[in-house]
Amino acid sequence: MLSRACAIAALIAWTVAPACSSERAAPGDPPLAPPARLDRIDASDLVAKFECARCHEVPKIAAAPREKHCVGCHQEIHAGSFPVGAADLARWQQRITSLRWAPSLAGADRLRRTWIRDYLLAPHDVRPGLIAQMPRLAITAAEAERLAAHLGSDQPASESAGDPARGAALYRSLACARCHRFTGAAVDDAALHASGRDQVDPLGGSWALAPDLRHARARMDDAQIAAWIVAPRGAMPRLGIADDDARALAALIATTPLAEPPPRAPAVRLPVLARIVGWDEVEAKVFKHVCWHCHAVPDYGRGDGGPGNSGGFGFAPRGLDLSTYTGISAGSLDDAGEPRSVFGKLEDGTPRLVAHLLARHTEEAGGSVPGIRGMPLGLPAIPIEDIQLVETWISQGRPR
Amino acid sequence: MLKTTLLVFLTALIATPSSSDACGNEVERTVEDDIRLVMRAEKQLESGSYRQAGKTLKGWRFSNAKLRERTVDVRAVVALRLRTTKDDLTWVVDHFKARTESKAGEKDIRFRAMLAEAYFATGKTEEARTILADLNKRDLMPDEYAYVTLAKLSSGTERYELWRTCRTKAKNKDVCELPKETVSAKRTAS
Repeated sequence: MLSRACAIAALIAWTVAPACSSERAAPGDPPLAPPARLDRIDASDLVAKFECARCHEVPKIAAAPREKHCVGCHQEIHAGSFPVGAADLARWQQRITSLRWAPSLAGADRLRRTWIRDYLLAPHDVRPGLIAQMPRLAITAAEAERLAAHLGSDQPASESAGDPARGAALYRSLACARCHRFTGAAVDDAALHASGRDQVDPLGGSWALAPDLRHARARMDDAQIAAWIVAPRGAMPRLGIADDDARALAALIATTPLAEPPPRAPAVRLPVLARIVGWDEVEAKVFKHVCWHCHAVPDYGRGDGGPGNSGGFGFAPRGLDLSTYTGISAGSLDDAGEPRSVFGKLEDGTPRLVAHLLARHTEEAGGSVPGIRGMPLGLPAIPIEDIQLVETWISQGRPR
Repeated sequence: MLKTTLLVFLTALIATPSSSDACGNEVERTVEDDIRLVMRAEKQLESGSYRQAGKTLKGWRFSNAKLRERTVDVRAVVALRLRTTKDDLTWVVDHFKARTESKAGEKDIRFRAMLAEAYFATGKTEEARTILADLNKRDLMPDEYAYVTLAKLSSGTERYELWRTCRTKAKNKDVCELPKETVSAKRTAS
């Protein structure tokens, strides 16, 4: 009870802090402003092709309709405004944890184009509070380059004008770790970050959307970091930080030494089980639990079968329906649009379906499997024990 | 007025989502009664409740062309699976033939398998064999009915293996019944 009261008090203090500290001026220094953006390239065709607006808010682009808007739909459910019965709503609110928030691309203009390009080509976990990650799109290097030029900015190199030691003191006193991880930095405070979830989430995803600051120096230059701290947009609240404090924080973020995080070993594949595994078990634990969201039945009247069936996010239709036994048995479409079995064995003897599930573990460990996209796309890997169930079920002739 | 009220009440009763429905991709299905109704019939088909699936859609006609087509899919499968020797299933063949030739359905293996089953039911065994042998070779047989139909068109070890596979994949093993002498002969031989 006491800790809850403290948390609320801390939250209130943190929320009202801007009003108290905004009076501070930066003596002698010119006010911070983001560097001017250079020739922006229009790639709205690619924004449309990859359906960025299904998850992100995109400037000048209309949001996707509800039946296609992953984040919007989940937000409506959690807000209680989704038009469905109260019992269903309550049940879904308990279940839905992923894709509740996605960063607005309105703030992407602070990011380096080169970083955006590389991130689009090899997405990794930038926001540890979000369950879903940027999916690995079927995007070419040229498309990534254009999209990065559309969203990001060319940033002239700038030197850090702040004092990192002062920045560290500010980082602690402002409790930045309540929302941000700063993996590998001395100021990182995993415990405070974990406790921040319940305090900050009511503000609308600020905690979940807060990036791991380890990546900030690759994403932005010092001037952009400082300008963002002073005048953030999107989920980051405006804290009323003075310019010189922002410079100090930016210097810390951009220059503090970072220890390498311990390497994450890919999960070890488990041998098939001796017991019988039937369809009901794999359906409940894997296919209807996760896969179905994107690989469902097409022709829902106004809806579709999800990006893994009817196509979407730039992917061609695969026609894969993982919602029923007959659906999964009927296979998917290959790159040439011809039906093929999802149980077909790859060169090393691994069934294709299992290879995709295992590849997601490799991706989470920082790698990738050539020619095999990790599934579920952009979501946490399916537990290795559940993949073992799927592999056992396949090896036993897929009993019903 | 009373009739209308009763109809509305019954529709609401039928269309109430089951608590076992997951949220995933059911957004439109959940808020649109007619889609839920067709989905309900399709689920009944999937679980082998053919008579029930037929009853669910009895008397319903939808303005949405896609839903209408799916309704005919359900009715065609029901007609096929509950057929008697007297039934004329030419329309079922025509329906699935059209489905396999349509843009939306040409790549859907399930329509090909249904067409093969309809061919078999109407005595066009060679057509049925050609389709099913191809699907079996590519490990694309959608259900136990495809296996048992091909088994009926095969002999020897192949017939036995198809029968065994059918039993593995069938929810209701009775579906896989073949003339007893063939199966027991193979059992003795192996």
